[in-house]
Amino acid sequence: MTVILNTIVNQQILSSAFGAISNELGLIAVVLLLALLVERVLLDAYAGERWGERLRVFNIATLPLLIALAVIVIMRFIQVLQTS
Amino acid sequence: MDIDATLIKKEVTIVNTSTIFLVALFALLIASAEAVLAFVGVVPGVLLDAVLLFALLNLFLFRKGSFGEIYLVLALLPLLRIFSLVVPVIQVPPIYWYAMAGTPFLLALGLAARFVKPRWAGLQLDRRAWAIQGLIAVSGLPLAVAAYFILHPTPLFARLNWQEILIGSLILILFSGFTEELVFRSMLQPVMQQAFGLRYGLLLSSALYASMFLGSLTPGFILLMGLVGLLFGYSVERSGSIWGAVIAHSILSIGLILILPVLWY
Repeated sequence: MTVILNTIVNQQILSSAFGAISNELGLIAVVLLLALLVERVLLDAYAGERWGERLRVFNIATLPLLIALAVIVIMRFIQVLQTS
Repeated sequence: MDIDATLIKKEVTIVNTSTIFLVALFALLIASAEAVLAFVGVVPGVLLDAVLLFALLNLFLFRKGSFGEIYLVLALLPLLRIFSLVVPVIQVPPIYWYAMAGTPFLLALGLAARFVKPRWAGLQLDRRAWAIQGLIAVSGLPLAVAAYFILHPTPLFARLNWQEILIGSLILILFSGFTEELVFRSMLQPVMQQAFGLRYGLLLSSALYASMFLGSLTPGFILLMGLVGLLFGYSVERSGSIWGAVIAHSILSIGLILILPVLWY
């Protein structure tokens, strides 16, 4: 058991209901990603010079989230190909 | 008292009361999100984590004064939990789950290091310091045995071969030992000590570390992880390096997850 994957996380992943739950979790991640990207674009557009390098703080969440979402899309695509 | 400790003690005076209140509040909310995840449901827990992440990043961005790094470090904790549940892992064997959820988080850590320089992560140690690090590292063995007998996790493999031990160990060293020590001991602990002082900062960062194990649903294990946090945190602060704790943490994870369940199950 580690911080990344503790008992409850393992149990959830292995549970039969996780398919339905993962859709809701994916939706939360997408909404979070969009909120962060929109805020970054707005701040950059209206006060980009003022914020400067500090706007890069959004990358901490957005870049890994984008990669995670790309992995989700690829996995789903492979799943669809396998079932068809 | 070493130079690091003196610097931290001096910096404590810079942090104002409202910052300390906000940090304590968010630390409590992060622990609450873990409790919601464990006892209420995964979706509300992750939703709370997403809100906390958004709020903490904005606090860092809109902060006034010089002490804002703590919000950024705290933001890493809800981000870690989001990755552990959002990244799809069911299609791969369980040992690879750690790598799949840990890879985007490690990237986030690398990006965060541009704003918050990790402390005690240097390798400039003399021979005596390496001996101390070795002693800290060995503590991982009894801790792994204690953790196994408290938690009794199910084995990931029916039987172990060398290939599985090697790949599993590498994954756990990188994504458990290294990643978790970097977050909790090298980034979180110093900023908490800046805000709350050496003793209370260590206590609070260890409590926050233990709270991330609320999902184990085993009080003895949560308590043990709190003590592990205190032991590693204290040894890291005194020795000035995280590497002994990284090795001890890796041995603990490899023993608890990979080896001991197969030997004793």
